[in-house]
Amino acid sequence: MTLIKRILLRVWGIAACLLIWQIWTVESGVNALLVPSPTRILADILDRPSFFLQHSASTLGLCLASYLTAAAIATALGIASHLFRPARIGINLTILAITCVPIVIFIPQIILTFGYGIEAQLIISVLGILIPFLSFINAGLAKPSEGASDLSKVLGTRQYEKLIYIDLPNMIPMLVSACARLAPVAMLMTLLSEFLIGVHGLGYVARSAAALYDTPGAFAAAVLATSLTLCLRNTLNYLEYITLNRFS
Amino acid sequence: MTRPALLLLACACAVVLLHGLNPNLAHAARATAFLTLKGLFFGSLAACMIIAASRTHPLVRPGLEQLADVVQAVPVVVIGPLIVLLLPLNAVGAALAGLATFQLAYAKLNSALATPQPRIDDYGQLLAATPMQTLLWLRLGTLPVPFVSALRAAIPAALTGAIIGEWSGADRGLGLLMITALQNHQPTLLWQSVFTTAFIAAGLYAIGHRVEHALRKRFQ
Repeated sequence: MTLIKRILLRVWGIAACLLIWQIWTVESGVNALLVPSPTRILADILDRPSFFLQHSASTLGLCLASYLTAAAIATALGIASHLFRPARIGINLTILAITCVPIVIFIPQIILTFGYGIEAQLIISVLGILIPFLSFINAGLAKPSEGASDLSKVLGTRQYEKLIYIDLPNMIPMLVSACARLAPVAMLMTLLSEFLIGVHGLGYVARSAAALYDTPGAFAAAVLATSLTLCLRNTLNYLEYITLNRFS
Repeated sequence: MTRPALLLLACACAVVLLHGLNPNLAHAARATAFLTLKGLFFGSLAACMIIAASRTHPLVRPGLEQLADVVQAVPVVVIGPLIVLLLPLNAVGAALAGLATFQLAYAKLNSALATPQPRIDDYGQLLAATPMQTLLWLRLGTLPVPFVSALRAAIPAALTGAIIGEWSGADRGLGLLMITALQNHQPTLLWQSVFTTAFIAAGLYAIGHRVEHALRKRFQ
């Protein structure tokens, strides 16, 4: 099968959707304020690249900051639950309760408590991924390599030495897997925080452009947010692949 | 008593203790629950249709999978303000709940179907079954448990979609009540809305858990 045929087989779905959208918007004469054509959206992005680049960078920055914060807090909580039984019971109960309740319902309360600043945005973004992160880290800490565990028993290592030299390195693949699996959720929560209380970022652009009937701008923000999510997810998937190969 | 049922009971107690039974809250809860169920239905239906088309027509499969991959990465929050322009206000929440359900149900069902089942696959090859026949007569019987499991996992996502839809623009619902309470600084109403939403989520989750448990016992 030639390369062109293989590419065509993979992209025909997306290409067909874009083509139908383009033809429909041109032929039906639907108002561009309601539904702009894909070419119009592309032209809007190319018209003001620095504006979109700045807001995309802001979204990506907040998303990465929330990743780092969530990873640090989840690791600390995971270690606490690994070492202390009461902490483990409490954390496991919280995970179970949160699993079936959408975390977004707590956002208005966070805004009410922490105001409309960047801190509230970061808390919202972190809260969305903290509990799933914690589940991954708990799973990573719960299954250390059996050989290493036995060796540590034979050598009579202390608990903190076992944690530093065996459990934490064993947890790294799970941490990277958590990052890869949670990329869409992290991006969604970042955009949601920007949408509700932000003054920068693609979430803010989507809200403000729609409010000003700048529909091409709102569509462009949606397209860029989707592209950013895809890039982040694929990059982290690749990082996960490399890490799993390294640790296997 | 299962853990979701316990959470359900806790949320119900919290709602009643906070302010008694508020009729506005009941109306809003009904609207949000209805939007969530509508989203769960249409989202899972779309996921099933795309999976069925891609599994039975090998030629269109890479293109459909790529399309579904992109749809899975669409953040529901940035689509909300655009859906408001295209659909009636009472359909925005359902559309976003449907999109969120599709994203999760598609991934779960696709991975369930991608798991090789050597006995069934060998039987299909022995009978020279077409992909359509294999899916309809051999694999369909293995799908009820993964389907209900996917739906159960999609409940919080669907409710998230419905609430974001109500935040984007809706004329009723718990999301709207939350925003109103936030803007008018009414913490009691805000907490009531939060616990009512948690009550709906836990209720749907408990039902899904029970159905999945029954199906698992019947099919495995």
